[in-house]
Amino acid sequence: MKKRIPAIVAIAILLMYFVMNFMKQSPKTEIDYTEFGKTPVHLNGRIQPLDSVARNALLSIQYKRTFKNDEGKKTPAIVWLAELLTRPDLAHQRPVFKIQDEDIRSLLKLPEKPNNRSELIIALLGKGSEHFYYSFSELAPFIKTISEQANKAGELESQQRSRFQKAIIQLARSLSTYMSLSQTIHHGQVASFDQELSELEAFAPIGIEAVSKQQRGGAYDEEAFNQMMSVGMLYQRFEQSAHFFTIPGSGQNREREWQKASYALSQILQQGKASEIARSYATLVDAYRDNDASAFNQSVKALHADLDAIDPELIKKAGVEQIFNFIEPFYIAAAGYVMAFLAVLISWIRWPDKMNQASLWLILTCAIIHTVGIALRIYIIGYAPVINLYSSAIFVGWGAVLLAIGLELIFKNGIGNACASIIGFSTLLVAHHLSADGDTLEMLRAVLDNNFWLATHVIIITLGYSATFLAGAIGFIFILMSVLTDRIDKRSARSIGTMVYGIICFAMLFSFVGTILGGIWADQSWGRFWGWDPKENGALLIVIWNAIILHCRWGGFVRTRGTMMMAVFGNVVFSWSWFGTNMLGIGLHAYGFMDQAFKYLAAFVGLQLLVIALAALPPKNWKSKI
Amino acid sequence: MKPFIKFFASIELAIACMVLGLLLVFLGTIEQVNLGIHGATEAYFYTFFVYWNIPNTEISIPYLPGGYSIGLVLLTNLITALFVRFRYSWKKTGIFMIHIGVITLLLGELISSMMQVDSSMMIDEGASSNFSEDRIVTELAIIDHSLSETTDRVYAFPDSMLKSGREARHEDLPFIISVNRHMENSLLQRRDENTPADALIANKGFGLDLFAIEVPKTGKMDDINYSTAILTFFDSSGEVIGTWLARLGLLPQKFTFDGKEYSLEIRRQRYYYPFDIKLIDFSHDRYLGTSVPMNFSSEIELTNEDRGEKRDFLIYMNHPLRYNGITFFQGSFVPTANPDEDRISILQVVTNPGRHLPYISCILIFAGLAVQFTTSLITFMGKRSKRS
Repeated sequence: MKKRIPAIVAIAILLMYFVMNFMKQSPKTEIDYTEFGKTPVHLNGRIQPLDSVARNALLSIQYKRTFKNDEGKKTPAIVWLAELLTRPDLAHQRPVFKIQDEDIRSLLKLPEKPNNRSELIIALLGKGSEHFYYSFSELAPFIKTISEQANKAGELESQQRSRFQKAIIQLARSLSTYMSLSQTIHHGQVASFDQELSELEAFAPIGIEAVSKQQRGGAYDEEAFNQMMSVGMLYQRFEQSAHFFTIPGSGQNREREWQKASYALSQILQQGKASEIARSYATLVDAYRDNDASAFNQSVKALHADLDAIDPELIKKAGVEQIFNFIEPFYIAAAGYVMAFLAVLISWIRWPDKMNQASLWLILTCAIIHTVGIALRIYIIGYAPVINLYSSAIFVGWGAVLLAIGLELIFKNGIGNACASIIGFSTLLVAHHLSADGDTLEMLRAVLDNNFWLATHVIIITLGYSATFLAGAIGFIFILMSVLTDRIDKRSARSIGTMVYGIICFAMLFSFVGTILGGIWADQSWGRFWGWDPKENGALLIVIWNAIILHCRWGGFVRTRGTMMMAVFGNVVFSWSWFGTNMLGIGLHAYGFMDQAFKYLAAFVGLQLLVIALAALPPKNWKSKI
Repeated sequence: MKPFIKFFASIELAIACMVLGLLLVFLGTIEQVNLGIHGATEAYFYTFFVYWNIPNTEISIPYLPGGYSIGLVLLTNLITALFVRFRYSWKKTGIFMIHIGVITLLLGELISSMMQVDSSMMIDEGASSNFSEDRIVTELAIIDHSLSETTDRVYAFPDSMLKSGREARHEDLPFIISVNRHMENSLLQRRDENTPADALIANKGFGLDLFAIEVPKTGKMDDINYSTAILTFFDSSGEVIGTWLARLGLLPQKFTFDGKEYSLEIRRQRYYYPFDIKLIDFSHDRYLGTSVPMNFSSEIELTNEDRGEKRDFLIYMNHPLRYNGITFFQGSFVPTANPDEDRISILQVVTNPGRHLPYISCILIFAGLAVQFTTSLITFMGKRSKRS
């Protein structure tokens, strides 16, 4: 029992962190934002809770999922969204637009704001890293300038745009999302939405009569006719500006028949009155504007009851997604992997057995959280786990962590733990940076929408990537440890060599079969087995490189040291295939052009080459004698 | 063993091929940014050598073996090794299967690279078609309209016959076509006082108002090469009939000769089929509130009068129609402003005699790798448990 104390303490800390993080998601206010955040709406081709809308919108505008409230306290995005949807006048004062580009700031003559960055950090990261947050009111006078500049930049191909041009396009997009959100559930032209609906219901028969009389060419009530026209125009604009759909359809094709809030007018004109759902939204808007928390909570309850009556699945699914958002499984897992890595480091200095065990337990816990995260994503979106670059990062990490756990259970030498924690953390970090564009749970375009191939080709090839990366990571750690420390002896060198060999065999199997399956999918969809598309070529490179390593080993051209060096070079090939090919921005697989990432890729490749060069030192200069 | 057989069967040669292959695939992928996927494939993969053009000269020197060279050497290496070096034993079953799988894969790609024909068939709802058009290759078509109201006779000359300075003739055509100039890609311009003199030779049809300027060929996916020819027609006594400008995308140009009506045009090379495909309905949905396509499908009716067949099919993503060794896929469509009104479907038509080989090779390689690594794993675990 005593032996297990470090492991138990470590897991307790992680779980406590998990619970605290979960609690932080529900603000303790009179308004029940958690319940409000559960409300299902239709955006990006799928049904999602307002909580997700809030997080993704704030992330794409502010690059953070939380904002600072008036007291300077970190507050969940849903609080910001509730305000923006109902009281845009207040929301416009919040500094949520992040502007990093100096040229934009000088073009718009935006003032620098006091920030709490120390001179040291600015000196370290460079002046360009400075960024400031501005409110919509501060930016509003420049909207015309911004959109003109963005249109000009938009005429260029994305590869040719300068940093300023990319930033201005991004800012224009943020502003457009923001403005359209502010007119999604109410157009904001009158103070009370509920009263507006009642008045429209009363006026509808008179208005309809005036219009039909005018159309038949007889005498008509001119005032009523004009009012009808202006209401019609107002609601048409309202429909165009709304960012998402709020009123669910009820027919056979109900997924595709959602309506925007402006549909209330059509309901009134067709049926004489607005639907319950439209009414609940209206009372909700009014309650927020009147600062009446209990009326707001009441309206949310009524709204959910109405939605439930149409389809009980709606709230249930939205609720699951909200819980997924609250758990933040990948964030927690990333934190846990860091703890596990620290435990490995400690184990190399003191208490090797206990700390190594603590590390393994932490990694197992993280792997469970990681798995739950992936499973929830599958449940929410209904596709196999890998659908875009973001999810492939999460899955590559997951596969590599599981393989590394397997290695640790077989070899029990701490190397598996070290690799699992490093890969787990780094892939989740990469995924975090890939998620900055907003919603990562996206619907797949027709040609990819096929769960059979997503579940076979994509999963198998991603596991092949995982294994290639894992082999490289082991090689990386092995080289550093044996050149710089004396911890590796002949026997452990041999067993680590066996580990890497086994993993490369696994990588070979999965990347080869995955690549061929991809070809068969392409043959099924496009009538060609192989099209020399960049992503296909990238996968081929991984297969060829793994085959080269194995043949060099079988031919006796390399032993442990050579295998390790080649495995590390496998990381270079892997990073090119996984990321580099997306940077070319051509071909059918180009699902995300990222130029920002290029320098990180270059740095990663440089680091791998450095380690290979280190291993090229003659073995007599190594601290470990292998 | 003779030294050269030993060389061809050696593992060193296999490794060298793979290293060169790695380099080739990497460079070829990078070059796609400039040449496009098709262009880079021709320059790096479907070629024996990759050439480097010395800047500002006409001289190109080969600096890297191309896909064909590497593939063929690797194929030779695999086959000789299979006969010479491998000694079959049950332990090596996996290795054997993998290598036969790789041989199949290489052969499959070789066959596809040489024999796969990719074309597209555009059909409007309610209409039918019995031909498809090549996506890249063009042809010069001379159409004789004099036969009857409903039937024309078409004389098609492939692009390869239209080299500058060459002549094209057919025994049934009463005239000879001389190619003054051929351009693989061109821009079209309106004639004015600044037009260069050599562009003024066309004296019939569109050539009276327009002229073409040669531009470099493109290999990019969405760009089109506008094949263009300036053609002078002579009658059998060598008398000039006229000089025309023909270019991909221009409407057919009519002319009369010897009382018969003809027209000429450069068009995508056509492949005719002994059956008709009629588009009954095309549908296309997008995800609500987005422009992301959710599905496409074409409901078609296939009629083969020779065989007395008439069948209905629904072609949609990942569900092609396979008929007579030809595969029809849902390729794309002609978009209109309102997706509900889209009505022109484009079917992708592919014939590839080697298309089954990758399937065979996939099974062989998968089974081989699985057998091989499972046996190694079992041996390894056995050793470990013995040791402990």
